[in-house]
Amino acid sequence: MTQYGFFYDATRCTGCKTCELACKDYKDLPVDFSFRHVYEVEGGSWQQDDAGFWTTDSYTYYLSMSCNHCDEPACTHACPTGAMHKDTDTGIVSVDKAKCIGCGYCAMACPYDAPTVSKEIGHSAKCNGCAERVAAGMQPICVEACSGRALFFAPIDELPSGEGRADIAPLPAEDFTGPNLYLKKCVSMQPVATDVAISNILEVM
Amino acid sequence: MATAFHELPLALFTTLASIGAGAFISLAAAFFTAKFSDGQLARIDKLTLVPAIVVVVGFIAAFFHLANPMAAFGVFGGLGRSPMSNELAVAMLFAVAMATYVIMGLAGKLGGARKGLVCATAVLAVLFAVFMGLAYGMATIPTWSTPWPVAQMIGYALLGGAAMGACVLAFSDALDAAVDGTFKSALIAFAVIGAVLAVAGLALMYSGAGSVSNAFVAGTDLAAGASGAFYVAVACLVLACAAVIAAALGKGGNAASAIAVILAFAGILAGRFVFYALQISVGISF
Ligand code: SF4
Repeated sequence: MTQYGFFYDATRCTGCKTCELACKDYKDLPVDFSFRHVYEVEGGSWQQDDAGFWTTDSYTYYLSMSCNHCDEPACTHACPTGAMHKDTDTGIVSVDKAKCIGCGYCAMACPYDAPTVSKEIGHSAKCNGCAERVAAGMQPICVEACSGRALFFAPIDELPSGEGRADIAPLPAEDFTGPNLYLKKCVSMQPVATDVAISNILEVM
Repeated sequence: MATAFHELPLALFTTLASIGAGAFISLAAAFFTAKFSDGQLARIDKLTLVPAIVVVVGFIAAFFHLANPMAAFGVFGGLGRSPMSNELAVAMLFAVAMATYVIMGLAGKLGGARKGLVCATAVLAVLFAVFMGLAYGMATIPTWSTPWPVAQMIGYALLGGAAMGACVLAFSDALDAAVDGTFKSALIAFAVIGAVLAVAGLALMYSGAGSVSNAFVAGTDLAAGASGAFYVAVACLVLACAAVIAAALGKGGNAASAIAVILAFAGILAGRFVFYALQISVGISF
């Protein structure tokens, strides 16, 4: 199986959220949910020394993320119907709407908040890697829209080289699900389990 | 607590299913330890429809949780892999045994098959409770991925079932005959063990949530938001246990067992709200 995945270059991302809006527009999503989110992560503190000088180790960085089409997806494991499934050719995780009962187990289980399930939609919905565009030789709409060229999507052995799988705060340790989100880290990025804050929490929830 | 109220249908399902299914555990113990007249047996069999209806109402409540219930026949597709498929498969086995037992009882055809059938139904009721607890065993949700949800569900089935079982016997004019012998100790044991498992399981989960957090939500905040429901659950479960003990000791008449059912329902439902309120992911959850 060829496993497709995303690559995110945090040194190029400006946090403009064009990827998120391009996805919403292309997928015709309602205002209250989104397949891709751009998280604004921040932390650190200010200290004053004895002489009265202030120093800081504060930081901020962006993380643009949708479904990570994991090697061991928590959503497919939890799904009782098999509606949430991993494509055997591409490794893309997507929803079979006809099978989905809308129980929400996939959304509960996913540590990346990728699936959304509601009565209004009537089934689980999430990023499918723009499978139809990729099949036609194009890039997912988020990748194509990114003005900073910070996003890539390809079979994982063809992605640009970086620092490996996403293992940064606020994400879980990569060994929970094996996310196919690979990173080039910026200097601000903090390791998993760092006590970071999300400054745009209302925007991403 | 907003998450918890969103899960109201599931909270109702797990509450009603544990009380209704648990009743068959107490009834099985009664049939193995007490002697009933034919008239009492006939009345018990008629009233056994009540816990069966409680279970069915629980199943109906679960349907209201689904965004697309029309596809529900596919829920067994994940058997062996999905904890939810496993839970529902055991639920179906229990429902078949329960329906067989209740229908044969209503038709007056249980005869010598009574003990065997009620015993099978009781065993499946325990398994159903275990699998309801296991249904949320997701490694990505550390507050749920512990033995405590299973302890809670077994406790709810034993305590709620003792209350409902005592109620069925009391309103069949058969509780006095039943508690004349060793069933008295059995009923008290179910109530006490059930209350201990339920309260301890809930308290350990509740206190454990304080050490879990992600960048979006802190377990301490979730626990603080659910504190009212937690204390209501503990109080109602303890009082339900006391009411079952009163009924077993022949005090309080039919009212004691009826009050026990109401308290058990309130306590378990509050406990289920606490459970859903403490959902916190290893990654992103709100
Ligand atoms: S909502 Fe649909 S895709 Fe998600 S777990 Fe339930 S059946 Fe599976």
